[in-house]
Order: sequence, then structure tokens, then C-alpha cells
Amino acid sequence: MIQYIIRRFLYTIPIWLGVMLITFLLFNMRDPIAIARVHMPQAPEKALHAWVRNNNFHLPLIFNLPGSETMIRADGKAHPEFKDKSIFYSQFFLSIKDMVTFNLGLDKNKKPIADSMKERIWPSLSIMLPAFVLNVILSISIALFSAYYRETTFDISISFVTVFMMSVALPVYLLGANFLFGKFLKLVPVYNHTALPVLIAVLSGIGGNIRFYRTVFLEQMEQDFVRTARSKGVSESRILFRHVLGNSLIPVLTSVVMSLPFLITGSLLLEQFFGIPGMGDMMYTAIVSQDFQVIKVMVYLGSFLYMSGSLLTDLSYRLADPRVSLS
Amino acid sequence: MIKNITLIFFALLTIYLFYLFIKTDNGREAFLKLRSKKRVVAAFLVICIYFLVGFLDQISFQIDNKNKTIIDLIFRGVPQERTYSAPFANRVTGIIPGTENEERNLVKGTHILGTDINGYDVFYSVIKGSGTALILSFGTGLISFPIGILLGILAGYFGGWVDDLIQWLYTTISSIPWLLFVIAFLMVFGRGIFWICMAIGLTSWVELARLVRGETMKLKNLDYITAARAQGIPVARILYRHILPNLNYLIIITFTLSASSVILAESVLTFIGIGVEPGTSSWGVMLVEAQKELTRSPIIWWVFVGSSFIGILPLVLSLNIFGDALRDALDPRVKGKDV
Repeated sequence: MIQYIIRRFLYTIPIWLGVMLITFLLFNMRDPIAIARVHMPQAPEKALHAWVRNNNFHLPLIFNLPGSETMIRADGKAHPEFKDKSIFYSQFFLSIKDMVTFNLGLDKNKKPIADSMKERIWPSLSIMLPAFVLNVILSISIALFSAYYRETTFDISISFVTVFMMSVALPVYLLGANFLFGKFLKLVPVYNHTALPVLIAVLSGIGGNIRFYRTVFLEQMEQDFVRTARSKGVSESRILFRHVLGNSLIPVLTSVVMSLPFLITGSLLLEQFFGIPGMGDMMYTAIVSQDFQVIKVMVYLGSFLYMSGSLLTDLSYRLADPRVSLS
Repeated sequence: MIKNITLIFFALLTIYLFYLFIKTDNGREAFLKLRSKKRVVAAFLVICIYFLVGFLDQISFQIDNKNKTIIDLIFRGVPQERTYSAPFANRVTGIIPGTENEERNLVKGTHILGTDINGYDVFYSVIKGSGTALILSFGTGLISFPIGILLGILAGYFGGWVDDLIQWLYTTISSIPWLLFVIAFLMVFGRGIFWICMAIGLTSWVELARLVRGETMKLKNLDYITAARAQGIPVARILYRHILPNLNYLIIITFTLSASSVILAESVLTFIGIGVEPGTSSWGVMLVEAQKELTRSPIIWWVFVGSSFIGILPLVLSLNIFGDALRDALDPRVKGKDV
């Protein structure tokens, strides 16, 4: 078991490095002066160069090799090479160091990003957590019944409704529900209210989940042990909840754990639309104000959470089923 | 003119590829199975109509020094009104009290979906939106399919370190949350249809590569491939002649399902403000407009209804239904969400 855990951890490292490399290339490949200008649109040339130096954008990109300096100084000459520094004295490895130590840097208003994230996690969770719990409970129960009554009118109509729900764009849900409940029925005071965002989050996500769980349950229902249980005279409800649901736990667990990162990153559109001061709203603000550091941190955080999620699911598989091994 | 010829060539190529697909064994089987299902036939027809309209909107001519597409020419007779008018209304909306009988409040033509704030016909805008949807679906496919097929075949056929490397690449890309990556990409490179296609194309090949890899691994152990290898046929030829034709169904399934997600993504990205440019005629831009119109009093609902229920919904729904049916007919094993 210990060996498995260690190997699984080691397996994550190259992928983590790959994520770092892709996000790094995406954000740091551009001309450093152009990056500086986005941060300080009106600043003179000299201030831009100073900004580049202060933010380490004048360092070599990936490796500090002879002749690999990337920046031209304000006076037009090349930066001297960093001969006395190690080969890892570069933008890439410095940003890795920052990310490992969770030194997330400052946003455009010079506020530490880590601080604003700490403030913004709770509003996001207050919407996403109830939505998530509702979504999982509802979709599992609907899918279970749909699979049990397969090929009946109930099942076929559920299938159609789920495809329909998956085909509606999120902005349409937002505008439609906002109009229906806020203006037409006058039920919910539209803004700063949790009920409507939660409802929309559930509606927009439930279609895909029901379909996924239904396939999982159907697979189990066709297994021999279900037939055996039925011929032994086990009650239908016991078959459904014990045999089918119990044996579907692994795929269900995967999809649950895999959606956990989105609880923290929140829903961008939803938070922007309803003015919820969460992580999604932070991201939206960053997009509007062209704050690349915040976006970079968000991309990194999202991937980090995703990778941790998949690590956790794999480890829990192993606990649940000792036959699982690394292929 | 060159653009028109390229487009027509491209459309003919697409139809020819589809024809080739129907002629293969599993293609004909799927065709026969699906032909009896009314729902699927209807979905297929809807897709054809939307893409045909979108295609006609790309063929343009120089008339009076302006580029006019065929759709523009068809809608030439639809007049521009003064401002909003409801569907089939004979007067514009929001008439100042006391001027009810004035002639200038009358609309000049019939508008089945009304007109927007500038008096443009909403139905016409919805029709124009299908052109953008078509470009997005095919543009994304043009970028992601070559990458996905090539890397998938290489990983599946050669195995070993090639497989490890390609698996590492796509696991890495799929570890970055999709929407976050697309947003970051668009912020760095700028907005617009081209960059949306690039961003989504560069991330969505992963699914196809995964499927192609699995299928190739199965195929390469079949007898006829072994025989071909024993005859000394070059690897490139084996891949092209004997493996690639067997993957056609994966491509067509992935296309329908990825087209639907691209169209949905466009509306979300445009709504955030980093999708297509504001002047473009797309359903996402119309939804952004509709957000403003829904808060007006009296309420202007037809822009919203037009873009979402005449534009996005029928096409995406049909793509989903058709893609699912095709997948069930062709390959019951890949049923499920992870495609």
C-alpha cells in the first residue's frame, strides 16, 4: 500500500511539471515590456523597464544558460549574463518556487492574491456546496429510478429531458430563470440571494450527471449477481440500493471527487451575474482589468485541485478494491 | 472569389467524406439503424438546415462595393425599422403617448421575430448567427482533429516511450480545467472567432486522441495488420490505409459532440466578455444584448427568445441527439459521459 501511494505520488510529478510549463509558457512567452504596459498603461518607458526588473521578467525563460538573456535594457544594451547564478536561475523555476511555497503574488491593486482568495472562498462555497449536494442527491436518485425502469416512458422522457437540459447554454439559464422568478413571478428578490443561483447551478449541471449515473447503474443492473440476487428472492429495493448502488460506488466517487475543485473555483458566470463576491467573481474582475497574475494563479490552483482530486480518487480506489494497480 | 471557391471545395470535401463514411461497413450499419428512428432523422435534418444556412452566409459577392452574402441577398427586402417592434406587430414598441396614430409609428414590413433597438430584423440576426456557429464547429475540428488523430494513432501503434510521452501530454492538458485554460488563452492572445477555435481546438483533441489510441491498440493486433507488417509494407502506409479508415466513426461522433460544446462555449465566453468581438453576428452577442433588453419595461423578450430558442437550442439539441444516437449505433462500448 505504502509503495502504491509513493508510486502514485511520483506519477503525479511529471504531470504537475507539465501543467506548470504550459501555464508558464502561456503567460510568460510574451514581450516583457508588453506585459508591463498592461499593468501600467500610462507609465513612461523607464518605469516599464523598472517594473520588468522588479518582477523578474528580465531573467532567462527556462534555463540560465550562457547567451540566453531575454531582455533588452532601457539603454538598448543586453542584460549582463547571470554567470554567478545556477542554471535554474530563471523565470520558470522562480515561478515554480513561488507556486510550491504558495507565494501567489500581488494583484493589480497591490493586494496579496492569497488574502483575497481567503475572503472569497466562503461566498463561493455558500452557493456551490448546497448546489453540489442537491445535484448529487437528485441526480443519483433520478438516475437510479431511470435505470430501474429502463426503456419505459419514464426512462425515455428522463433521457430526453436530460439531453434537453444539456443543450441549453448557461447564459440562457441565467437570463431565463432571472426573468421567470425575478420579474414574472416576483418570487425572489433577484440579487444577493442564494436560492436562485443555487437553483440555476443545479439545473445547469444535473443533466450530464443523470446521464452519466444512469449508464453506470445500467451497467451494474445487467450483471450476473443482480440476477442471482433476484432469483434468491432478495427484495427489489435491497437489490437497487445494496447491490446496484453499492457496486457503482467507484465511478460515482470519481465523478464526485472530480467536481470538488469546482466548488472552490466557483462558477464565473453565476457569480458575476448575481454579484456574489466569490472566486468566480474575482476571476471575472481579473479578466475585465487584464490582471494576468490572478488568472495565472487561478489556472494553477484549478489544475492543482484537479490533480489532488484524481490522486485522492485513485488512492481511495485502492482502499476500496485491492485489485486496482498502476498500469 | 477565392474564398468562395475554397469554401465550396471544403463543403464538397465534407460531403464526400460523409459519403465515404456511409459506404464503410459500420457506416452503412449505423445508417440503416438510424434511418428508422424519426427523432434522429429529424435531428439530422435540423443540423443540415442550420449548417446549410450557415454555409450560404459565408458565400459572398461584391455588390455596390459591399460584401453581401447569399443570406444578405435573400433578406434584402426586409426593411429596417425605427426601433423595437414586437413579432408580427404593425407598430413599433414604446410609442410616446399622444402619438399613437402617427404614421411614423407604423412598421414597414412584417418581422416574424420583431426588430431590435436599431430596428434590425431579429430573425435575420439569428440566421446570421448560424454562420458563426458553423465556422466555430468546423474551425475547432480543423485544429483538434489532425492533432488528436495523429497523436492517438502514434501512441496506440508504437506504444513504449512514444505512448508515454503522448499520454503525459494529454493527461497534462486534461488536468488544467478546460474553461480556465480557454479563458487564459483568450486573454493572452485576444478575442475573436479565430482564437476561440485555436483555444478550444488545442484543448479538445485530448478526448479524440484517447479514443483513437484505444482503438488503434485493438486494431494493431488484428491478423490483417500483422499480415501487412509481415509483407514489409511501410508503417506510414499501414497507418494510413489500414488503421485510419477504421477510425472514421470516432471522428464523426467526436465532431457532432464537440460542435455542440463549442457553440455553448461561445455563448458563455461572449457573455463573460472575452468571446467574439461585439460587432460579430453570433448568438452569444445576441444574448449579451438580450440581457439588457430583458430589464426594459415594456419587456423586450424576442431578442432573448430568438437567440436562445431559435438559434442555440435546436442546433445544439440536434447535435447532441444525433451524436448520442450515432455513438449507440456504432459503438455501444463507449457509451457514457467520458466521450
